[in-house]
Amino acid sequence: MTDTARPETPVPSRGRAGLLSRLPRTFMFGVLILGTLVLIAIFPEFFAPYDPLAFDYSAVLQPPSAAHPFGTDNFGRDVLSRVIHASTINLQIAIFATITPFVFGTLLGAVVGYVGGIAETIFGRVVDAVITFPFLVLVIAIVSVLGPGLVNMYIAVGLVGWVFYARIIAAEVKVQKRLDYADAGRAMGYTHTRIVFRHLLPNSVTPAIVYWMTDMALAILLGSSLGYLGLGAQPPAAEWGVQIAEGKNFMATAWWISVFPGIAIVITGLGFSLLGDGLADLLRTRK
Amino acid sequence: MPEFIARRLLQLIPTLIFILVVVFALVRLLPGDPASAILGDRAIDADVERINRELGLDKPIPVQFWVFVKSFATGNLGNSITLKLPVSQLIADRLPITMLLTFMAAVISLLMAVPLAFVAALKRDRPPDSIIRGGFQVGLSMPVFYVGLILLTIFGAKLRWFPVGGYGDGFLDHVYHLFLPAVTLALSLSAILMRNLRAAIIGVLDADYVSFAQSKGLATRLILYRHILRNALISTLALFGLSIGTLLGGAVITETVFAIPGAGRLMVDSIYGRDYPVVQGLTVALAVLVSVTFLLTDLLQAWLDPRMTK
Amino acid sequence: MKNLTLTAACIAALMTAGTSAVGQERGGVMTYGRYADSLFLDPVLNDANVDIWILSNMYDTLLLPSADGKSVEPGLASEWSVADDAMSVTLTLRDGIMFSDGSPITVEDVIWSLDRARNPDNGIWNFLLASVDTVTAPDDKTIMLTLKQPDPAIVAALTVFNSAIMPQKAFEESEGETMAEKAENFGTHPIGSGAFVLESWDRGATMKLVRNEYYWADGEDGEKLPYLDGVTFEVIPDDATRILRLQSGELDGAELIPFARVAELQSDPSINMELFPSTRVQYITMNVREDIAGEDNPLSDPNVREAMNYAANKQAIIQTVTFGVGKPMTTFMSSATPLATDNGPLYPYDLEKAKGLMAESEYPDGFTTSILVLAGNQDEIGIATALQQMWSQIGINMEIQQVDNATRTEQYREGLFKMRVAAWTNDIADPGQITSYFAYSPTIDALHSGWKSEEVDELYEASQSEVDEAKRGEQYARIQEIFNTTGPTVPLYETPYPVALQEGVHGFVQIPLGNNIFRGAWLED
Repeated sequence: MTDTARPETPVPSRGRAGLLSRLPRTFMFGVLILGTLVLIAIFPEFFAPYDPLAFDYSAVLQPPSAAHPFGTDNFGRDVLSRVIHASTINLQIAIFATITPFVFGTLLGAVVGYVGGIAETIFGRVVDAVITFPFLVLVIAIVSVLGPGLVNMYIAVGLVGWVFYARIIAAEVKVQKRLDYADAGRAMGYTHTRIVFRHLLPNSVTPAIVYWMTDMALAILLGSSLGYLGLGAQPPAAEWGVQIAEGKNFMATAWWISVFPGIAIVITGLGFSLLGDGLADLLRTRK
Repeated sequence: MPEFIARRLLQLIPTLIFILVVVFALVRLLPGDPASAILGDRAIDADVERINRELGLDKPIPVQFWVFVKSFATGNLGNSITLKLPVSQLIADRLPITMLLTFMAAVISLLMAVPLAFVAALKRDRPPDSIIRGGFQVGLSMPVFYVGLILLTIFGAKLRWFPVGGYGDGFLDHVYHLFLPAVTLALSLSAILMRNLRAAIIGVLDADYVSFAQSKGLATRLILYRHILRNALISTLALFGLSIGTLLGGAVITETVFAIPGAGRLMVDSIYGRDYPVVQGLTVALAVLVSVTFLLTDLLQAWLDPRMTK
Repeated sequence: MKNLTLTAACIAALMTAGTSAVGQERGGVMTYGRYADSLFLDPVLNDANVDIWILSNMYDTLLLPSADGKSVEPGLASEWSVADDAMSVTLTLRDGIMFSDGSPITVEDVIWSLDRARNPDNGIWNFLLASVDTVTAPDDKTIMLTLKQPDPAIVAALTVFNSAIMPQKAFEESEGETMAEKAENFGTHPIGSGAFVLESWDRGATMKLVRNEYYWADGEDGEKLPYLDGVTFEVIPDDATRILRLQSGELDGAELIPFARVAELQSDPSINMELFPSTRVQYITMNVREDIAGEDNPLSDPNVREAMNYAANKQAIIQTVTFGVGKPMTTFMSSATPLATDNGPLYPYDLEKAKGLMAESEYPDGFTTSILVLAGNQDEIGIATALQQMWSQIGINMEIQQVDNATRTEQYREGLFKMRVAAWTNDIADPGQITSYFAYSPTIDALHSGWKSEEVDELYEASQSEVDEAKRGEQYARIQEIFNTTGPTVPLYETPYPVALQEGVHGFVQIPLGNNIFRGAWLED
């Protein structure tokens, strides 16, 4: 199979003026969502009407009202305040669980994809071992040995997560380095480091960034699942996934306990995905 | 190509040995032992010691490892501590259920993701795109146990289109029972695939060579097939292969919610029950399964992009 | 001779208690949703409630526990008597009793079964029959147990699942070199003496039982029990799915309904929400050793423990965690346990008193501690969350640690935990078992707490061979008084077994020991 239509460099040459003006509205919307969220997450006390941990036995399982816009749970805790305070923990999960895997995986993937040969073989075996090892066994094992809590959850997620970035980047770099412009770089006497990190990586990083944004949303979900199994955030701290798990028994009688944290996860995920798509567009046009 | 496959199968051996050693060590690093897990609060020292002796867990770790390797080499995976059944039989009973579930989920996610990704990419930033992305985002953001319950309530209990959990008898009945769980499991994967595919298609559309092709007067349909699909699918396939492991892992909660007696549930029960032989055997079986899936996606990728095998 | 014999008419009367006056209908298969599958269907070598609670449907015992769990009824033995010196028990086998394969149940089977059950090398239940010296058969209808010392619990022990009667010949013909291997093979297709017999078992999914055509007992209509053609257990681990399946009509009954859903199901006209009395108690265990892993332990101070007991608002916990289904405890054992005392609820909530006690303690400024809860268990998390808030009022800062069962058991057994949430269910209708674990220090250091009372230990040992009911009652009253006032627990509540049944299901009971009894169950058309 031949591919005669391959261009000199796979970057668009169509000129586009006014960076801000051509940013899609959806991207701006994503920035807006996440910006608001970050603000809430940094100053939850300012936004929350109640102490998220305070019990009120005189107001348990109250439906949404003026006093409690999101209602109360079975301990009389204000669901709105808990959703707000949970944003701090959930954003932390989104960032801390993914940033190390993203950075490490991307760099490693770029090097492996460029060097190839024996490095690629070894890398392939390690990746296989990590990916084929059942994730839940690893998480339960790590959390059981180190104790439950978010930091140990980050460790467990980080031990596995880098592989995804590394594989995506390695595959892209492998394709890129066969293109003419990489040869041109070598002909011009650029160092390997420069070729990899200044030329190949920027051209290959887009799918990894797009995946990263999804991964942050996935990390929140994973945190929820692990919280459901008791391996994530520890009570009484509010975390959206834990809140949903707490509200599961009340789906028929007090839907507000689980629905509002669910909406919070959806909105946050939307923010990340809009941002990710926007960034992808941006990175493609900038070069 | 046969050489490529043979090489890949050979590469599997060191991976499996590594996994074998890690899982053996890991399960024994876990606090507690099978006796504690089984007896719980009724555990009396004498009983715990007797059970550990019966299981050979009172022997030094290297001796245990040797026993394990010896029996493993002869194809004997041992007996489950809690279920008193051969591990090989348990795997043969439970793993196909999870495989079918995962396969159905994979097919459903592709069926959802591929056409919609095309629509979203071609109508970029217009209402169809926003609706598709928003819809997938909602699916992606909902915890599996929650989505599962909602689907069961609506399509199971209310509309009676599908059974409320269970696995059924016979292949067609299994497929029928596994449909809702497969949709549940497919939601997050299809969202990831859709996003990636959409980004890839946009990337190809933006690249100049499509304009080149257009200027040469090729039919639009052909451009789509020849260039976009092939190029976009390459990265999607990589992602798809990678996701199989996650999908199998995600089966745990799905299987619990839908009361499916699959390998995911067996794995979690066995970890909590410190059923070392089952955790070991099942981990290796899952590793083989995931590796074979990788191989298949790689072969497909190689077929789409012959440079990958070099 | 003190005769404890009950007549068959009595059981009939007891069996009907609780069922409506409608005539029993025969036939049909009852589908019952369980939260987990059984593991091992051997009466002697099993270790878990998932086995214990259904075993009696497949394996019958010489005597049966009554529906209220407090007394004993005839089973495969129609009569029994304890000798005046309390050193032997004589039982008479029913005429014409058979195993599910139609072979007769002989005295040899009984002797073999009881000898296997009391063999100290077999399983964890042999202690229940530890007082038995010999089992013999004076004639082919009579079984005689001679005892090493008097045992007030021996009659109750003969109702416990581990003393079930099994067919010696069929068992020994099972494949396997050792007895344990034979048990494993026998357990996959057991031949039993209970009202039902295992037909098929799809692990982790479905277990099908069919009626045992040879079962001895008569039903209300004068024909042989059981009324049902069979029972099918469906394993549905998720509470919400189990309830949904019941509501959609795919199940006739579902066990372990979360307390949060009880009121909702009570208001559903097509569902009969049963709350069967149980022996289940929920409590906090505190490690009371002077120091834990080299650190001073504030929980060793009795004032601190008393303060924590008064500061724990049980009524609030009963409301928020059990939604009013639970009730406060009057002693450490459930009120359904024989010889349980009742002098009003323990430690009624009194924050002022608690603060006073803390001020008098060695830790007037409070301290930091931790509690282990079972990961993902919403009830335990709820309890710990509520207590965390309640105890913060007396200066105690408690961290909640979620761990899995094996991890918790290990920390528990090694005495390294500070506090843990715990629950207990009796396996025998006698206070001896729970007292042995809770209060008698040689067994497991009083719940691994390190608590010890010489007086309790002596009283317990004496009570184990005390056959005078009144004297034994006094001994147990004193044990409970000591444990309740100075012990290492915070008693929280006792709860019934919440089981939801379709409207047309009758005669099913879960007895206080947890056993699910299907032999008297029937389905209305």
